[in-house]
Formats: sequence, structure tokens, C-alpha cells
Amino acid sequence: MWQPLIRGSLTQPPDYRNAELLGSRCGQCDAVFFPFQPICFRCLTGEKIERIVLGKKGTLIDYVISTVAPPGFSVPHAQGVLELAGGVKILSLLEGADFELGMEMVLFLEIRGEAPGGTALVGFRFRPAEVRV
Amino acid sequence: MRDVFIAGVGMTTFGKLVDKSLKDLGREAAWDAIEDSGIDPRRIGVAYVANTYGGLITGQESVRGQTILRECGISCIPIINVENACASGSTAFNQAWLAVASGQHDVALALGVEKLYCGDLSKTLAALATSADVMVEGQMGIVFAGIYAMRVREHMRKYGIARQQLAKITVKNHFNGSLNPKAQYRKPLSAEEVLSSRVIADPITLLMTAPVSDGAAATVLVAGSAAEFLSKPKVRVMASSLVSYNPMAGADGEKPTLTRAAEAAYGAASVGPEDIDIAELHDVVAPIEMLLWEQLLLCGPGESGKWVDEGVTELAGLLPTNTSGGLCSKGHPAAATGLAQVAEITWQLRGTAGARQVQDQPRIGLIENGGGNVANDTAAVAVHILGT
Repeated sequence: MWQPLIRGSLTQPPDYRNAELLGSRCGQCDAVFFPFQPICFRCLTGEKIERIVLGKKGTLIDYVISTVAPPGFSVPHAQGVLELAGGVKILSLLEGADFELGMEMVLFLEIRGEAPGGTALVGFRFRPAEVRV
Repeated sequence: MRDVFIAGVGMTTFGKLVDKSLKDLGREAAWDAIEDSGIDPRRIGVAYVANTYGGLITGQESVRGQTILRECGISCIPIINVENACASGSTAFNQAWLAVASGQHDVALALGVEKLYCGDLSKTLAALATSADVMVEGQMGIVFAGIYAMRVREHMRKYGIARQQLAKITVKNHFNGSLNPKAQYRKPLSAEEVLSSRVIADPITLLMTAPVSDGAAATVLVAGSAAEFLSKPKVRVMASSLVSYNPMAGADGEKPTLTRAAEAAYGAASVGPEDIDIAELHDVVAPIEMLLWEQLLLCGPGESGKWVDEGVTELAGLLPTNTSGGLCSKGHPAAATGLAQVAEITWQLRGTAGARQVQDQPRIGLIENGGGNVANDTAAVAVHILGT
């Protein structure tokens, strides 16, 4: 039993390792949002909102490595902006130490805690698609 | 809408003020502004009190305004508690202005108070982290320093900006702060010192960032009809614009949120960016000023590097910015900052800014104050234009 740490961020197959990013698409104006957003920001209606699977891959379009991290996260702390299929841009933590703009990245899923009742909470990061030697 | 004038401004020194409570800071700033205004305080019809982190830092989660104004002797009138992360002070100013401009009240008080020092840095950092969406980006572990560093890096890549230029803006702000008796840091810095300080998130170093601070600032606003007694030059609120995050802000063709706020302010004031003589800007990290100048349309896209090289925004330049020292040098007690920016512009327009007075008698000043982060955009941004 598991659920996404960030509500509306992941599809929910039985095995969390098969999850993909989830968003919403407004059937009226075609805007895509991440995470899933019940009401379209442009149209101000939820009537045409559909779930859209955003996949497991993205291109790294920006990143930074910080020497400060919030409680519960370690340094060095890498975060970045990924562009997903369809042009949606999302913020994400990054896994790894060597990054390059334009790099292909893949979703990395991890259990980050437990909800009251024992359900695992699953978070995500992105890591380089190819491990460099 | 009626004309609204700034009758009085006041602020405490900003810094690590461990012996002062929210009440002490609030009383000092509020009474400074009331005395500066010369108005009988019994005429204040409404008070907007801004405070962002008081609940987490001091335990006063609710009715902060009333508890702070208690030792000021202010009661009975409507008191509104205002929170918009680091833009809380500007939000209080915007609402106080609106209360007077609309005709509802003749005299309004806007007060911003913050205590971030509490002897436990992790408590402070945890409080600051709540200015992001705690259910989304907060859970991801996104850090503000990283967000700003990425924006600066992208700007550097796009326009070939060098680290020396980032340092130069930082040096400018600390130089100005050294002339400001209210500033937290009053020591000029060299570019070498700035660049060699600890890296927070490359290219941002420690000395480029705004510190944690305590402090308070206040403004008394008055309707034009009650403003005859004010000494010249009278400072008028020409515009006050407040906007929120745009979840599509990063998309191609989408106008930056700050530009939206600025255009609304220029429109309401019937001025253009070329009319602005002086500006107080929200430099969470000093280098972000380059993006602010461009997004405020003060300079064209990609011109900010040239502006740094030519010293346009230095104290003796054509458009001085952050003559107060900015957040980096003056300090950044979150909810007080917006109102401290109002105080600085007011002093500059009146000609009473002392050693840091801009010589050319500035007549129109701009204030930009932003805060929080939601959906990878600033949660709240205010732009005010003041003029004589």
C-alpha cells in the first residue's frame, strides 16, 4: 500500500517503482499542469479536466547545487527544472552529482516516509538517464 | 478614488535584536511614523499589521496585530492581520492605501513587524520554508536559495553576465548600507570579499544574500483632504499594485509576473519606466536586481549587464536602486521590508536621506516587494509608485 507524497503527482500502479508522473490537462484550453490540478487556472472550470500521464523522462533545462538543505534533506542538495514530453516544466530534486544542461533524465522513485496508518509515502527525484563513467 | 499622501514613516534599526519583542519593535516603528506624521493618533481609523512568521517563531499565531498594537495604545479601530510572506509589508501598505483612497477612512496605519532571530537557526529556517507550498514544493525539498541561483544562472548564460558583475551589485548595496544608520550591515565590501565568501548555491555566495533579521517599519497614510498641513514636498501614492503567482509564468510568451504588476502600476500612475528616478527593490540575493530592472521595464531585455558596468544604479548614477542598502545590507525582517522600502523612498523624495541622499532631487520613486513561492513563481508581488 502506498500513496504519493505529493498529492496528484504520480500514477498509482500496485508497485510504486512503476509509477509515472501525473498531471492534468484541460480539455477546453489544452493547458497542462503538474501536479494534477482539479480546476483549470485559465478557464476557471474543472468540467474538462482530465488526468494526463507525463511519463518518466525529462530534459534538464536548469539546475543548481546548494550547500544548504531543508531539514530532512542532505547536502550537497541538487535541484533543477525538467522539461517533460509536451513541454511541461517542473521543479524536482536531482539525484547524482554531475549534471549538464540538456541531459536526459529519468524518474527515480523513493519511499520518503509513512502516513498515519502505515501507508508508504513515495516521493520522486530525477537522475541522469545514463550513468557516466 | 481619492489622492492619498504619506504623512509619516518610521522604522527601527534592522538587525539581530534579541532583546526586543514583536511588541517593542512594533511600538518603536509605529510611534516613529505617528510622530513623523504630526497627526493626532486618535484619528487613525484603521490599522493593517503585517507579520509573517510570528506564529512559528514566538507562538503568537493569531491576533498578532492586536497584541502588537496593545502596547502602542491602539485599540477599538478595525485591525487587520496581513500575511503574504516577504511581501506582507507591501500588502499592508496596499490595503491601507485602498482604505483611504476608497473613502472609507481618512487616516490609516500600515505596520510591518518581524522577529526571525530566536536562538535556534533551524527553527528560523523551518519557518522560512513555510513560504513555499508545504504540500508540493516544500515536500520536494526545494530551497529558495536554489530558485534564485537558477534564475541568476539562466540570466548569466543568456546574456553573458560575469561573476564580477554579480559582485558589483552586491558591493553597491553594501556601500549604500554603510551610509544608512538603520542598516544591519554598515561595512562596505570589496568584490573579492563577496566572491570569496562561502558558496550557498553557485553562483550565489553568502555575502550576496539577504540576512536573517529582526525589525519593524510603519507608514501613516492620509487622504488628500486632510493633507494640507503636511510639509512640502508632499509625497503622494501615485499607484499601488498587488498581484499573485502565475502557474504558467515559465511558459514561452508568458509575461513575467513582476512585469504584470509593474505595468498595472505605471498605468495607474500615468507614468512610464523612464519617469522613475529612484527604486527600492527586493534583492533576496543582490544579483537578482538585474532581472528586476528588466522585468520592471526600467531597462531593456539583456541591458542589465551594461547597466552594471556603467554604474547606472549606483548612488551617483542615473537611476539609483536600493539606496537604503537593499535587503542584503539593510536587512530583511520579512514583514517589515515592504514598509522600510516606503520609508526610504519617502526620505529620498523629501530630501532627508542624509549621507545617502540622491542629489538630483528625485521626484518619482518605485518600490518592488515580492514574497513566497508557489508553482515555481513568486507567490505575491507588489509595486508602488510614490511621487512629489
